Amino acid sequence: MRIEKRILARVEGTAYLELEWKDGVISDARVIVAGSRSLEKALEGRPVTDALVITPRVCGICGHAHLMASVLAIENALGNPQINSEPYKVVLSFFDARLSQVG
Amino acid sequence: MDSRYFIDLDQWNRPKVFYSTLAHWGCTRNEYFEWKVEAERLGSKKGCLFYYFGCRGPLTYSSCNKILWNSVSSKTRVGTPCFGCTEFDFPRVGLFETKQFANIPAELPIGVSKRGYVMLSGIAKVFAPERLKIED
Repeated sequence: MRIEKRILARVEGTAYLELEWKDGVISDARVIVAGSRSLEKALEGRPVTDALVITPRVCGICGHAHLMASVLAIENALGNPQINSEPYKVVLSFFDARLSQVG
Repeated sequence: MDSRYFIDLDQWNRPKVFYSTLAHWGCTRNEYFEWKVEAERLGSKKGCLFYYFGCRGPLTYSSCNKILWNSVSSKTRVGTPCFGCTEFDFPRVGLFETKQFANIPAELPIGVSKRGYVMLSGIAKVFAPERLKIED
């Protein structure tokens, strides 16, 4: 069984939720943002660190999630260097705080 | 109409109440800027971010350091350079670096001449107090 919720009001109507059910249990869930905001284009030809400033500004609600995404992408591009885990814990708890504020 | 209902705007239609002073105003790193003691690395609690890290504080009209974000903090207070996001040319390319020309920032604080900047910064660097140079 497949249920699609077309509008997530909190995401300003630009995203939708897709759920797949199996015997009354959700087997898969996806949040789909089909519309492009062309942010990748805006970042072309720029130093990587610019992404840390520009990507969070794509959305007023989930700026921090976009920031985390660009941090992870940059780390991935640099071959995932070993990073001191202490500041990372602060970053992640800040991320959680942001989530609870939105939710 | 009653003049109470008019909001004074600047040339970019921003309310002058918030956009007549620079982000530099009220920055807690002002003394470092004054004596040209530069931050050596990002995250440092000391040093000015203007020379190496692309801080736009002296070039940006905003009240970030005056009324503060949530009355608590601002970019430069936590050690991130100002990116000039209230200005028309945001985002510039290379937000974390200061473009230099012959060791002088390509863009100087608003209203400061190149000659004045070079002379004053030279003198300031020579006479900078030691207490500002000590890294914690």
